[in-house]
Amino acid sequence: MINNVSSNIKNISKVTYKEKPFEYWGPTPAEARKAVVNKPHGLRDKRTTMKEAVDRHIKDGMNLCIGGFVNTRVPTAIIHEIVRKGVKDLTISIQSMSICCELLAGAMILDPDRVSIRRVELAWWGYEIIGIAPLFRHLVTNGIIEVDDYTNYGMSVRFKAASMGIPFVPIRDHGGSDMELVNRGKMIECPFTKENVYIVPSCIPDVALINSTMADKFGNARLFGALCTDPEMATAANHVIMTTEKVIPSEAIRTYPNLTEIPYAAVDCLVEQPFASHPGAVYGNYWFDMDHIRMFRNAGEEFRKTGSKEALQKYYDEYVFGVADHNEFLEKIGFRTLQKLRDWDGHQPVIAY
Amino acid sequence: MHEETKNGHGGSSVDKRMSLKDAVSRFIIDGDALYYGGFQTMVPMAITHEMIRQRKKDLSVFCTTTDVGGLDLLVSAGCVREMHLAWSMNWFARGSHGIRRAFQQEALKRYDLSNFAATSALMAGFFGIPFMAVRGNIGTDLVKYNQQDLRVIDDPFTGEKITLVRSWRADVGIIHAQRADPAGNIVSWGTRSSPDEFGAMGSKRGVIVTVEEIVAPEVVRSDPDRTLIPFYKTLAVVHCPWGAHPSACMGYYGQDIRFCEYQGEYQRNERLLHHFFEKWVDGCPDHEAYLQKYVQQFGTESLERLKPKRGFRPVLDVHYTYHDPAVWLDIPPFADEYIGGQE
Repeated sequence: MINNVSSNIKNISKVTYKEKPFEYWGPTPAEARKAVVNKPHGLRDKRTTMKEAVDRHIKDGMNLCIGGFVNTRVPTAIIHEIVRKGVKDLTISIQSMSICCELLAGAMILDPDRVSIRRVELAWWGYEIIGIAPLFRHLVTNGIIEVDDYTNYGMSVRFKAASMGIPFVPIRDHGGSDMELVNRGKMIECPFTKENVYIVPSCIPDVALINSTMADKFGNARLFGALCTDPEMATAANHVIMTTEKVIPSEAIRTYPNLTEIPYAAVDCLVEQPFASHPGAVYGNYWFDMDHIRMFRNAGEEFRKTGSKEALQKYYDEYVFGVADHNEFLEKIGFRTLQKLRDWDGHQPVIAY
Repeated sequence: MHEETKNGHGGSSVDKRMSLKDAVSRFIIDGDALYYGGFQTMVPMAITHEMIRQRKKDLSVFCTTTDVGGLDLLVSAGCVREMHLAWSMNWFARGSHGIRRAFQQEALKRYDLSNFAATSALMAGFFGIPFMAVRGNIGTDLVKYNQQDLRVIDDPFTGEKITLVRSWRADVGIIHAQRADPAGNIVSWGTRSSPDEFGAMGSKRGVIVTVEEIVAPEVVRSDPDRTLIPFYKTLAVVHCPWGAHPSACMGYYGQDIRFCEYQGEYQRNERLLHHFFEKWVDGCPDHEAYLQKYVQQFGTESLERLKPKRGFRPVLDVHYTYHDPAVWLDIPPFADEYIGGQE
């Protein structure tokens, strides 16, 4: 009943692409529905340790969604733990991301038997003003990982569609540009208007990693500053591992219910971890640690240019494998730096009661 | 068509306050598609009465769910040609009698769909996309009898059956809210029609709003979170206290159950209905006259009874202050013996 149509772009574009039969890069909508229905939905204390959360939910071959936006409210602490544990054959789904994805990519370059990424569905992967991501560049130009490329709005609505439980959503961009050729969306004829419209499949991760500004022990989370598509990601994923800067009493959640951005039912594990986004920023808590980000990027850049893994290995040995948990990592960063980052945030307003 | 349409909706300094009569006669044209706002609260009753007074014709209506019988009165008065909605009732009259009669006499085309599909249709209109996929409706007669709004297709990705609902974009939206500034930044809170945001933002020409209070723009800006509709989407702001009566408006009044029952008896009995119109609609030049008549007949205590007595007012002291990026202007890149700044 519905016609697959195509615009002229395939004849015009110089982009090389491969046409492949469609598949979901993670759970199908039907599988996701089943998984979410079977999840316990009662109010229960979700607090646990980082190790246990990662052990329980991170599995080889899964679709892993990394929350936050580039360097803002990113789940660095969970990524460190995942690298320490090791996971293979990952599909990564992100909106826009820098250090968290690069940490996984770096671990893959150092030891593909510990961490490996198979493919990534994304809008953007890079360091914003500092520069493009060297490790991503290495992986893509050498054809080591597969990329499914959408616009920023495209990724946001794909998560939104998944959180609404629908299999696809029409969108007014991608169509008529090279973007049609580099992702799994389709041009169809609208059954109502008979006009061409581009549809993108919903993006359903197995697990989403989210850092929240604060949450109660059940996982009702408040986010301040930019939301970074986190509410959509959390409700799109089958499971959510959440770190939070601060656990607050449930009475506070009930007093101002309108501030809850992620409901408890979406959350599986909650880990209280201050500075969980370092070297990223969390509005109202701390600012970006640009020195640290730049240091890690320089190590990656050195590998890309010279092929030497020395600086990269040194970084991981010191900051990831050389520490048992995120608190030890923060000790290496040092109190003075952390205090400075808190000051640079300017004590932006958050509501913690 | 309208000056407002030609020139966009003006800047934020354009004063859009006007009388209900002017707003309805200037912005609602016979044959328009209307987004009918409200749910079981916030029903735009004052605008409904004014449309009946002006005998608007051939309207088509998009609505998710509506209580207290406002839409039913509009249909009974012969203003509506076609309606797309999920649910309509005056709960205390146990049915939408006017809509039923019009439908049986084939004076009204009626397109039915589920609540969620109706909300999705408005959401698609708001997003500016031609349709939205929904689960549900599938396997029911809703799809069979409403091919206008619903289609079942094979999912182009998986081949499974899925329902599509077309997007709804009205010409004009009509809603009621607590507050607005003169430029039309509409402030609302509490339980209200969740689709009002979608329906109003998706309307092509804009929205007519009746409000309990007009406030200064500074008041709106002081708590930006609660702005439901921004000024550029607003055509007219009508100061109209009790504009949702007999439905409820959070913070101002509750639902007038006895009046709903009273009005419902007229709606149930076709031969009595013209008395209701003569007395409460055409017999009142405006909403103020309607209220005066109400107080005359039922006493001020009937209005007093509706005033909210429970609940709370937030005491939260919120600071909308932010970090000034200008502090970075004179700060050189940080460096040490390893890091030499930007390469």
